[in-house]
Amino acid sequence: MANRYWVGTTQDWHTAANWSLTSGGAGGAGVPTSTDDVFIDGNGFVLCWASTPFVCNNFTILVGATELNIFDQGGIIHGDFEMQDGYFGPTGGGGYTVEFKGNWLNTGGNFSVGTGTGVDPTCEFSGIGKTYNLNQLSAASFQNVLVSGEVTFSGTRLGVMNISQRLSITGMMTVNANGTLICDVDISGVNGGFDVLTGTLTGTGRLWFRYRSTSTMTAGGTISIRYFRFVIQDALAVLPPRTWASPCEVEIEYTDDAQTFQLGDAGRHYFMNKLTLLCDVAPPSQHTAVFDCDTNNAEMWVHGIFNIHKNAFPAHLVTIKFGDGTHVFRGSIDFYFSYASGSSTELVVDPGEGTLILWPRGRKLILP
Amino acid sequence: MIIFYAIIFLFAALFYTRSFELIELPVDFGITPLLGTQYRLSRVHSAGDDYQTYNRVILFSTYGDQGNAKFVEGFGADEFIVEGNTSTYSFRKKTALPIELYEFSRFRVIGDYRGTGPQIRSWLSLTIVAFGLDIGYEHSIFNCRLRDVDATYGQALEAYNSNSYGTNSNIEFHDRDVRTVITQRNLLAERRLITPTPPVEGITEKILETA
Repeated sequence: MANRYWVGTTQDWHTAANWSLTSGGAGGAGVPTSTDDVFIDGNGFVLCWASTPFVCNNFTILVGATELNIFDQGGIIHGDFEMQDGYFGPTGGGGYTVEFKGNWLNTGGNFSVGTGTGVDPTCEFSGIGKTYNLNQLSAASFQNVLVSGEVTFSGTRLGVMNISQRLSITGMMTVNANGTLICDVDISGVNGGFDVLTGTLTGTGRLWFRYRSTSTMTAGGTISIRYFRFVIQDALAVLPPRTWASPCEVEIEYTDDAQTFQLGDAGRHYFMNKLTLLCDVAPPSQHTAVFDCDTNNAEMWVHGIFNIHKNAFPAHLVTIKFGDGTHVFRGSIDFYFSYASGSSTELVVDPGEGTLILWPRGRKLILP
Repeated sequence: MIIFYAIIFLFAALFYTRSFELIELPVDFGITPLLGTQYRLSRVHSAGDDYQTYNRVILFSTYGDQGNAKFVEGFGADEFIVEGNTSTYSFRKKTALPIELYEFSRFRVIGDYRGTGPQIRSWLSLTIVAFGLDIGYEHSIFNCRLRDVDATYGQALEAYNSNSYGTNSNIEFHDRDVRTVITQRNLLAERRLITPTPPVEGITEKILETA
């Protein structure tokens, strides 16, 4: 194991002369191997470019780094990744993977995965018991993300990871709050969504899913993250059935006038903690929002609280269509639309021909 | 010495049972509902005088699982069924303004023969049920305590039992100053029409409404 400092006179990562044993030292130390620690610290050619896959142990971009680190065909970082400055950007297209086996820490600079022709790069987090921390003001932008290990994501920023395309979880992805800051991972692109979900999404933070008319959710894996928010992007959004494990609170946020959120398919949707309807459209315009179980004959099982609050809909006509199914509520129901809210906010229940079963959770008795 | 070991054994058995009970608790939320689950099924459209009306609402509690519940806002239902065991279900006390009422077209209570039956506390807010009160649909013996049905308006409540073995039910009518005006016990052997007293004088109403 040795240190490799970037002192390139050309842009090529795979040139032995572009690497030194010391900061700003003489070149010729050799191309980094999987056991070598790489340092980028502003002493080399402004472009550090790996046109074929790279490997290293720890990868550190130090304060003062001005280089652009560009990777065409992915690579493997066997150790920890730390970025204090500079730019880290796998180029788009090609379907390559940059694998982070260790911890991931970003305190400065610009981390941004590019787009191109074909499948854009995947950043894979494969370490066991590793951490991902975005501790700076700028966002970290990803295209595809695969969590195959057991990694905890957090940081000092509200949004610690922006994913423009697909998120796959085959291991355990833990998104944790940082104190009172409810950190979130944000799936935001027009094609954003889940790909493979056989693992677990958990933690005390939040996952934002900017949910479109073309979006869908897989029924696989386990989702027990504290908050999972669907931010409705289009006039219609349809959610297939799945189980939202406790303590996951599913938040459905309306963002525009005349939006409908449908529970999809004729199956039962299990919300094992809370189901909350929200809105961020400002008054005073009158808007409509529809929560629809009717169209698809969907059914709900809400184990915690089903909550719609007038303060979340300051100027709305909110309609709940229960349809003909049977919905079970084991916790409280709180549809709070009071007289005091006046005519600016209104709730209409379309009961259909279905049944609401109110089954309050009780204290189990010792059975004889 | 044998007695000593027997006592130890009994304590061990007790603790074993207690731990079993703890396992059975709904610990998944860290919340053990002590006061009952609260339902606010939103009473109003914006105009303020139109109740949300649901199709069928079943208030359910299995044997051995005492889940109490409380409704804090009025609403309507075409059919409201209570099936419970030893649980207490409360409807928010009727207030002067906004008026809290529960308007059910059909109201059915199904008890459990193994327990004392559910207790339903209307707090004067349950309106007369248009199609009668149906008690004891499936089980033979239970106790349904339907308390504080508003008798102010002097309307009749038709109570009947689809099962001729039903006994031991207890329906109390109160006027608005919460005097019991009529109590019916064991009334369910046959179909009965229960008629409360005429409305009370206005002064009593006023006291209650401003309370």
